[in-house]
Formats: sequence, structure tokens, C-alpha cells
Amino acid sequence: MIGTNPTSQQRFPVAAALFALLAACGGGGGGGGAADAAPTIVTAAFLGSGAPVAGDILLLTFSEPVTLVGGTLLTDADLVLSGGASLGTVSLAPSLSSSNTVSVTLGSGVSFAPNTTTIALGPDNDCVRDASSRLGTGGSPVVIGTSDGSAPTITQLTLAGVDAALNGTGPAGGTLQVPANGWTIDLLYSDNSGVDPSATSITANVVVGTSSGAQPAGTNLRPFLTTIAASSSGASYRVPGTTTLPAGAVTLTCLVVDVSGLGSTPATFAATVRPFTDNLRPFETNANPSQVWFLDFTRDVESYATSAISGGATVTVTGGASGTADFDELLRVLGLHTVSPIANVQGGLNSNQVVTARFRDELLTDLAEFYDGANITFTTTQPSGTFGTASSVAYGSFGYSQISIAGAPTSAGQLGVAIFDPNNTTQNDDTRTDFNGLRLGVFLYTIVKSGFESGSTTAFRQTFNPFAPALGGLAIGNNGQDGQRLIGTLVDARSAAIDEAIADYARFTAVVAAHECGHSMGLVQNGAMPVGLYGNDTTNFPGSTDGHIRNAALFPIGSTNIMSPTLAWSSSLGAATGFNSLNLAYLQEQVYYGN
Amino acid sequence: MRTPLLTFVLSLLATPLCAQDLRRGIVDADVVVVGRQVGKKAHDDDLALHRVQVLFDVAGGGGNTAVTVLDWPNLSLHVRPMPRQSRLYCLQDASTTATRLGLPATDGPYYRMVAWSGSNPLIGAEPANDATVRFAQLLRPSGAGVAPAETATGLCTVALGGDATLRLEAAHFLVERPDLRSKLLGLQWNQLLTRATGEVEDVPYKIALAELCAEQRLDGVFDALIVSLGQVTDVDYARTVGRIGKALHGEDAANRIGERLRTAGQPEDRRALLLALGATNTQAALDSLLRMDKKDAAVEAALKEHRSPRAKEALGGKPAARKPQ
Repeated sequence: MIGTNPTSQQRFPVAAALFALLAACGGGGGGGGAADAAPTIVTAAFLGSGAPVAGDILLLTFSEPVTLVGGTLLTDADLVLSGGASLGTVSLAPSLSSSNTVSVTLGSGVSFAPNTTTIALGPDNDCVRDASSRLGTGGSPVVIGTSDGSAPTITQLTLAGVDAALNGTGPAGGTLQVPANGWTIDLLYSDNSGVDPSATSITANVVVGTSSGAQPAGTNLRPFLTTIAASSSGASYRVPGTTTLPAGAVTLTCLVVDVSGLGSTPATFAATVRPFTDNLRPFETNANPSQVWFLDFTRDVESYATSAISGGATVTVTGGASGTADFDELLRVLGLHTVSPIANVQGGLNSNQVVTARFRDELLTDLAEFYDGANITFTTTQPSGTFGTASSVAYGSFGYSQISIAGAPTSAGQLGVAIFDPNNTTQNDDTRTDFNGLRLGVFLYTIVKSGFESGSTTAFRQTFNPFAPALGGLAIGNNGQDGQRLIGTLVDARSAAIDEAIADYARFTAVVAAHECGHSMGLVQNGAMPVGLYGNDTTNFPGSTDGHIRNAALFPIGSTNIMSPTLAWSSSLGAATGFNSLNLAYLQEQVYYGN
Repeated sequence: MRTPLLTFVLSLLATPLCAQDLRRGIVDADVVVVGRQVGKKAHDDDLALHRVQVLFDVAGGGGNTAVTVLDWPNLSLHVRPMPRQSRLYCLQDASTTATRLGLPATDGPYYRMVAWSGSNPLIGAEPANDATVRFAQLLRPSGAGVAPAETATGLCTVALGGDATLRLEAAHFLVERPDLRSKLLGLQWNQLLTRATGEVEDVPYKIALAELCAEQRLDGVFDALIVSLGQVTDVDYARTVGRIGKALHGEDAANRIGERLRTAGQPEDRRALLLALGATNTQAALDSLLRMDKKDAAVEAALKEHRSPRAKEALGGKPAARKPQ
């Protein structure tokens, strides 16, 4: 159950296994030590104003859930107070105000200075212990603050930035599977006077290997994490390569402290740690430093003709190579290219070539944005090596995968078809024109044809009406000043329209390419984590299909999850369009699936 | 290694919630039938052959009582025959593939499924009385001699009163078919415009009707659509109104929205109107927005919606920024 620490009997074998592993690896900084850290005081707050008097309350928040030993008092003898301070003659038994917070009623003779005096558990504590009956001791002294009356609240604890709906805590169930390190721990919290991020505590219920040796369960791991961001409202910490969690189930417990010394109720997160193996790791680096994708624009298997229909135009396909790449022919249909380009617009490139260059730049920029943080690069330059007759080859045996950016699909309505490659075990050739009767690649003809046939006020038509000859437009390059517009020396309404048309077409292409390449890198495996990435879960994510997931609730109106089964022109342009948080975490190798 | 394929299909609708393209599937198909998958056998590891019993022929069935639908079991296609379910099948000829693969002619004819989203819906027990089948028949009338006006009226009826999916499909189909649109009568246009302005729940449907009325250049349509801004706060609707305004009135669209803006009482009304103003992408809109307080979140959102270089510059972006949003 989430939030429940295992008993010491359950915990021991895991710890023993880790120590054995550390010893075998010759690392770990010596190992040894207890498997379970004793509870320590994380923060302390005085409930009152001015100098404390007998009967006032002191709240002590501990690093983990604690229990109190019956018949004992929590007195100076159990504590180390700075400057000769005292809780007075405590006569009332302490009580638990939450699972990890102890309330102490101060006695006569109490003497300490709020916001100055520090407090820690002493070696003689016989009152406070953890769930495994280990008595608390030691810890860094903390300053006793003055309560502001409202404890901070952790509103979200997750790993790898994965939304609650996808991280195992939502109705879809499952348990996140993470590698031994490399992932982030992400917190959102709130408080009336602000959280002090330097006091945040993050513990695990397992022994954790660090650069300072094995840390017992319950140790505050924050010093062994890399802080990415930490503010009064949230924080993100990465588990660095020097910090290693052992294989198996792990529960992380986080606690935040406000500036008045009050601590939050702990938040817990259960995950499964599974060290990477090459066959399950999506982008293992033994042979290839990164996953490279070649975007191939050269397919030439057909040509296109436009004809007027009432209110618009339609585009028809004629099979057979034309000598011009299908992608370029569609640019001409859209009016982004012209049969008579303006020569020498920029660097010796004519207007068509400048448009193409800008399109490709936009496309690569968009793809880099979508795959931000992933060890994946896209190129429009053919890498060395050829697939030959193979459609897939072992990942480590070849340097890249490839996909065609082309024209028409085999079946009407397809925007793209790609090889599904769970865990990205192979390099894939998504440029095949006859994969058991199906074409692979990105099929821009589908959007061009349906866009041309849509109403004149649709976003697509508004974007391309000014340029597409079949829609009454003037192709880029057919206005004598378009060269100046393309290089930015003439800025007017047409130059803005040119910018928008190129950018939007590139953006749409990028979304489809990101989607198809995503399939060929393992998205979206069916099943809940750690079996899959919730593909085809139509109950919890309505509208999902086999190998796809629709997450309308996770994206603002006007934007979409890239791995949705359907795509609208307008939503592809949405600023928030991207991979859902779980898919992105997978691409960033922060989580992965499979057993 | 098995190499399943995944396909990605298109919906041109603005909102994925109702992203269906049934009409495109019906129109693009060689054969449209109501069928039930009654058997499946493997040709090899990569190809399965589904036997589909024809329950009702909508178009092109040719009297066949059963057909064979090719499927790739290792491919995660969006649409594939579902065992024992009565569904609409929009099929494309696959005889060439079948011949090349050496499939026996006796098991034909061979088809593959159209990939348009929503083109394989469930059908009720009485196909002849099923609303989806009747919609398919409207789009693919059997036999010659069906008057366009009759088809148009049928589509209008569905657009005004069909279920949520079909009314959206009908509205879009009328947008895409000016020849049918022109056959609608004034009363029908009044009904469509009234519905377009009055609908507040189903935004994709409202947008489809708005685009339909705009395509027909109905008098006062833009002003009528403006009234809904605020009642409907969906950004897609505001964008649609802005686009329609520019298409119908050019620069004057900004003035018309501006007039409404002056009397907008509620913050949500103002925000929606400003979004639509930005979405007109007109110079007049830009000038108006630049005169406003750019620290106002609604004004900032409207400038983002405008997407012009000057608007981006006003928001602190690069003057020549070419990103779409």
C-alpha cells in the first residue's frame, strides 16, 4: 500500500542484496551501517508568542512516521538543546499530532528562545521511535521557529514529472518503473508563509548507494540529489549517477517545512526500480551515442493534379515517379514552391530552396522541442550505411533509423504509418513503400487534400488560400518582392502570411513525424506501468486506441498529446502540443517499461 | 522480429473530443456495408484474413454475402475488424495486394479498411433503421436520380437533429459540399443560424455550424456569432469567429468586434471578444490591441492570437520570430 513502510523483516533482504551488490561492484564507499536510519527531528515550531511558558506547545516534526514509547516523557534528557535551553519540567506525556509530528507540552521552568535555540534528538532518547521500533537519535540541530499556525501541504509528489493520471496514483493504476538513477523527484507544495526548500526531506525505505557510501533507509537523501529547481512553491531534484537505488520496490517519502518551522504531513510515492538492461533500455549507448533519425524527403512514386471544385479545389494522385520528390510536389500544390522561383534570394538559393531550407529548420526546431531532454537527434542529411532489404536491424548494429516525409498513403485517411518497436530494440526503416502491401512514412497528401476540400474559413484554408494556385492564391516566388520577404528585408502582411504558412506546415509535419518516430521508439505500449504506457486504455483515457493514448484532460483546449490516435490541423499548432508527461519521461529514459 | 505498424489518422475537426471523420470514410470507400466479422485465419505471421459477413449493403457491395478484409495482426492499426460486432465497414479494394500475395480468388473479394477516424462505428440490430446507416445512404445514395435538394435537406435534418456525432458530420459535409449547400432553403438556413448562435454546450458542433453559415455568407452571420463570445469561452470558438470575421469582412471585422467590446460587461465576455479580435489577424485589430494595456492578460492573449511580427514584438519576442504561436 502506498505510504506504508515495510517492516524491518521485509526490508532486510533488500538491504542485504544491495550491500552485496555494492561490494561486488567495488563501490559504495564502504557500506556497512544500519539498514534503517533512526528518526531525526526535521523541524520544530513553538506554538505561542513571546517567551514560552509552561503549558505552551512545541511541535517536533520527524523525518519519518514515529510512535511514542508508552509511559515515557519527552524531556531535556531526550534532546540536545543549544545554549543551555530547557523544555522545563515536562509532566505531560507527548502526543502525536500527525504521523510524524509530536506535540510536547512545555513544563515549568521552560527556557528557550524561539527562532534562535536549536534542538535535536540526543543519544539518550527513549521516547520517540520509528515503525520498526528504532529509537530516534542525532540529526542536524534545527532552529525552533515560531508557528504561523498553518502547516505546509504537499500537493504533488511524482517522479520524472509524470502527471498523476499516468504515474500509478490515478485510476488507471500501475506502478512507475524507473532505472537505478537519472530520474527526477518533483514536488509541488503550498503554505501561507512559504516553504523553506533547504529544509525539505526526501527519504527512501531502502538502502541507497551514494558517493558517501550506502545510506540507510530513512536517510535524508536530498544532499545526494542534484537540485534542478527549488522554490517556495515547488522543487525538482534529479537522482544523479552517483546515487543508486537498488532493484525492487521503493517508497519515497517527502516532507517540506515552512519558514515558521512547521512540517508537512509526509507524502509518499511508490515505484519500482529496475536497473537498465540493453534490451529494455530504449537508447542504450554501448554502440550508438544517441538515437539518430534521418528524415528522408526523396520519395518519388507519384504526382499530383489539382482541379477546381465549387468553393475550393481537390487534389488527385497519379502513380509513377515524376522526377520530383513527392514532398516537393506538394509544396508546389500548396503554393510554397513555384515552377518559376526567384533566383539568388539568399546565399545563391532560389526562392523555392529558401522556403525548403526554412521549412526544414522549422521542422528540426519543432522536433527538438518535442523531444527535449531525450537522447535523440533528427537530421535531413543521410547518414552512412543502408538498410538494404531489412526493414529493421538490431539497434546496436546500425547507426540510425529513417522515415519518409512524403505524399499519399496506402489507405485513405492515414497521416502516417511506422513500425512499432517496443523498447526501441531495433533501428527501423520507415521509408518502405511496400511493407507487406503498406507504405510507411508521413503522408502529407492526406492533410493537403482534406484541407483543400474544407471550408474557406477553416484555419488551413486561411493559411494557404493566399498562396495555393488552385485556391486562387499567388505562389511564393510569383510576386517579385517575395525574395525580400523571405529574407526579412520587406515586412508586410504577405511576409507575415509567408512566415505563418511555412511555420505551420512545418509544425504539422513535425507533430506527425514525432508521432510516427515515437512508435518506432516504443510508444505507446499497451498496458499500465510497468507493462506499458497505458496505450489502448479506453476506460481511463477515452478515445485511446491500440498503441495510442488520448489525454484530452492533460492538455489545454487547442493543444493535443502527440501520441493521440487522431490529429487536427489546428491542435497541431497549439503551443502546448507535445508528448504526454509519461511518454516524454520514457523518451528521456527516466522511466521505462517491460520485464 | 515481428514488426507491427502503427498508423496515424487525421481529423480536421478543431476539437479532438469529437474527432470523427466518418463522412470521409464513407465517401472514400469503394464499398460501404454493414458487416459482422465471422471468422479469421492467418495467411502468415504478418497477415490475417478476416471473413466479414455482409448484413446490409449501403454502396458497392455487389451482392456479395461475405468479403475478406486484410489485416496485419502485428500492426496496431486504428481500425480493424472486431469479432462478432455489427459495424459499418468502409472498404477499399485490395485485390492487387491479394493477387500479389497469392490469395485464392475463391475467398475474395478482398478489401482493406479505410483509415479515417470513426469510419467503423457500431451499428444497431436493424441496419435499415440505424441512424448511421441512413447517414451513409445520404452520402452514398443507391441508384441514380436522387435530387441534390433531397440529399441537402436530409443532411440539414441530421445537422439540426441528429445525434452528437452525426450532426457534426452532417454540418461538416455541408461545409465541404457547396453544391448541396446551395440547395438549402431560407427557412433551413434560419434554423441552422439559430442553432449556431444558440448552442453553448457542444462547441465543436457550434463551430461547425458557424463555419457552415459563414460559407453561405448569410446576412448578419458574423454579428450573430459575436454575440456568443463570452457565453462560450472556448478559445477554438473565439479563433473561429475571428477567422470568419476576416474572411467575410476583412479589416472591418475588427471594428465590429470593437463595437461589441465597448459594451462587454463581464470579464469573460471581454476576454473572448479580445481573443476573437486577435484572431482576425487584421491590421485594425493589431492597432487596437497595441493601444491597450499589454500587461492585461486578456490583451496579451489576444496579441498572441494575432501572431503578427509586431504583435510578437509587443509581447517581447523577436521581431522576425517565425514560430506559429
